[in-house]
Amino acid sequence: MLAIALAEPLDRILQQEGALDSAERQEREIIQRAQRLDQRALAWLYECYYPRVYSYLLLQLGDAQQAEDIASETMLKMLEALPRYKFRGVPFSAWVFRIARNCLIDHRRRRGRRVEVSLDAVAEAQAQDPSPAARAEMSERYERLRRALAQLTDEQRQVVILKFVQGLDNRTIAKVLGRREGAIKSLQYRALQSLKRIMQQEGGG
Amino acid sequence: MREELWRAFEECQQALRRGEDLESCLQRYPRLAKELRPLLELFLQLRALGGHLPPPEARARAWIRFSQELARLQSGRRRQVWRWLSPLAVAASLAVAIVSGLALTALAASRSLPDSPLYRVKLAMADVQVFITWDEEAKAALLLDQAEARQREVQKLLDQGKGVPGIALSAIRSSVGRASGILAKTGGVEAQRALELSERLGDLILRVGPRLRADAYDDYIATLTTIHNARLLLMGQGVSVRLEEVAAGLIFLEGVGRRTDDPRLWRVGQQEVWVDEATIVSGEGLVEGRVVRVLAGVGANGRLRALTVTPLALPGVELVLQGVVEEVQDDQLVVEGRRIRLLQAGMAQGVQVGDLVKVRAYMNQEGLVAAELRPITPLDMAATIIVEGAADEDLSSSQGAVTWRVGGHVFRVLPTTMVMAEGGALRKGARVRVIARQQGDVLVAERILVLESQAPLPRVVAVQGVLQGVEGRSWNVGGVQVEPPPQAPRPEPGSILRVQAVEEGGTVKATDVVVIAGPESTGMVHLRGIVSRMEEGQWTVDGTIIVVTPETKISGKPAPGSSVEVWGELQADGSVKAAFVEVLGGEQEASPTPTPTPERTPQETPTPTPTPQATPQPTPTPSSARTSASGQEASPVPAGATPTR
Repeated sequence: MLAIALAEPLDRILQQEGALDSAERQEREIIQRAQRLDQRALAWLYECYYPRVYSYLLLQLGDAQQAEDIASETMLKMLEALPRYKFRGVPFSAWVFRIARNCLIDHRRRRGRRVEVSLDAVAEAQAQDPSPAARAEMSERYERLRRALAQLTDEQRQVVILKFVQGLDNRTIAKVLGRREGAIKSLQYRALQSLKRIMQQEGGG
Repeated sequence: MREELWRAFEECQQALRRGEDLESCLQRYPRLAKELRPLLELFLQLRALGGHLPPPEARARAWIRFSQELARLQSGRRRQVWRWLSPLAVAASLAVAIVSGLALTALAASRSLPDSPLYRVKLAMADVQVFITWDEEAKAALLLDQAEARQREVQKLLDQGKGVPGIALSAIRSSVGRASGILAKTGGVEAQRALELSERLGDLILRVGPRLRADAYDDYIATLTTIHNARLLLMGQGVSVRLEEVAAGLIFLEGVGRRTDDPRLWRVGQQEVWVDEATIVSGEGLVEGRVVRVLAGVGANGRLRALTVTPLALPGVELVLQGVVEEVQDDQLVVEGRRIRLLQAGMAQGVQVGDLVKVRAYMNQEGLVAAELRPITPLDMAATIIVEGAADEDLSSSQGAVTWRVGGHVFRVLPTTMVMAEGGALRKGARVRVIARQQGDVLVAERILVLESQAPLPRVVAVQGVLQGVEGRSWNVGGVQVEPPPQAPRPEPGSILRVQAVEEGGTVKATDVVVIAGPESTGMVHLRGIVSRMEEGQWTVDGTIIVVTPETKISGKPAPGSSVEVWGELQADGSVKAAFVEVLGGEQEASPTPTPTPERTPQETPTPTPTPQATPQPTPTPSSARTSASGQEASPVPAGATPTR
């Protein structure tokens, strides 16, 4: 397997460094190679997106096993649909996350009910600091976030995760969720207000 | 939210993602700071949720599914490709590759270090460069160049006093692993360079230990293992170290090397260490009685396996040591964990614990002796913590970090932690002195000196030999008194037995007994031992005569001193006609001066057994000597005993 440790898409990193053109060119070339089923280019995309999709799903589902299954399903669907991807204004990351979101919706539909968000698996996985004090503090912080995120609407939670956890820009999030950019902004605003309020009520403010 | 606040919030998010800290972001917006702070704090908490990566096994499972699907799609696609493949398409592809190559070269010139957000891009670009290099040898050379570049970057971080992130280490791992994989197959001219580079990288990464970021520990262990395996591969050793053998971390051991009954098991100080063909040995390596430094992996089962062995000093060789005094007595002192006897009493007058001293010392058979001792300057010991006490538990590992609880304190043990195990093994109950430094909330052990360890774990041993007699509850197997398992049927005296046992307080308690051959049997037997003599058609293995014929299949290159396993037919005269011989552990196990083994012809009376209770039996069976004639009478466990821990 091609061992590329690229956890973030090139555009997001290079945007900050003013090297967007080169990055876009690079990503576009890799995607074009991947569309021709070039194994190394596909490995690159897999390495880049599988961890992010997994993390996104884990936060939605709170269950590592389910996150693993749906992330894997997302990657297969990406592979299958890749030849049809067109460079027409939808960033590649938005396209991948849209597949992940659709897989998530299908999964929930199959389950026949809305899955309760539990971040226990996340908190457990995050608490890797060896210091007991730091571990306790981290665990408490995740517990507060867990409760607060669970109380948001599904759309608000999607926006919070895509924006603040995954680091996507508003335009990309709008493409993932099929909403206008303005709507994403107000969803963000409402989500943040709700989170602040919930966490203040819980005394963690 | 007001537009102004919103814009400031967006900009601060970008800045925080670039690695700026919260306070410097807020300083840019003093008027909005009060409103921005809680928003940004919330952002940081949420962002931290994304740091969770899928477990490696999940990633591997998903990749297998992905690549299977890819293979399926490719098999359908390939036919179409061939139809359209034309000289024009080939020329176009080449042009794309050349243009990409130029662009990538320019990007790779970026000066970002591993702590920069741009670094990931730099690595990706480097990887694409490898990707478009088709010639295998050129690809290996490029990977080595990249590994050298990563080496310089890590060194720069160390020079700047910065922490080293996991990405820098995984990049080294990837380059070295891939380059050595290619060079092991092609045997190119770069192989020697790869070998030397791997050695340098191994040293560098060990130095990274104290500066390692907390989340980089797994990468650290995996990278050291890959580099070690790359060295083995390039050296032509057909073996490698498995990750589970170092799963609980790495430690350094220093002490006098001593053989045990098993040729693969050595004691360094009092700590048992597994040494085999996957151990890289410098110089003469492990020689009985010589002080060595061993880098050992701690396996998931707690077993130590040596990765490298470096001899430190020979008797008579002079050393100059400099370090902090940890203990002073009239006739000896401890400097940096090394106990040094004083040539003359009173030499250490005026020297106090905590002083920095320079010692000129030499080795003799008893250890280090100081010929000259000179204080240098007092050292600020404020940041150093010295704890002496009993170990509350065995070494344990959690989340990839090795920890040890001593006297109620939890110490993190890094590969750079020097362990001096002369006084005993690193076990629960051992009295130890730990010299540690506070790093954040963690106490990092810099040195561990085992003062005394009286709580050894039971040793698991295997005893192979003839059941010579039964005395009460005890069986005499090849001269070793063995307590049989409860209700075990008693084999006939004269039978050859293989006994799995636990040695506790001098008693060998059998847990499992297998009868290899009955007393009258002349069937196939299997034995393991050291070759002490090799003559035309006849070898001696731990006192047993092995008849070697042209039909005997020999695996490996046996030499006097080799450890071998023999399968053969037991002859009426007690010798074994070998059908198959396997040399264990390669040639490095063959000692140039093999353990002197009393020779005998099969008809002779066997040499008396090592334990005083043993009653030598005149039965002319070969294996009565098999376990008794190794010349290592000090141990109740015979030479054939194999720790199976």
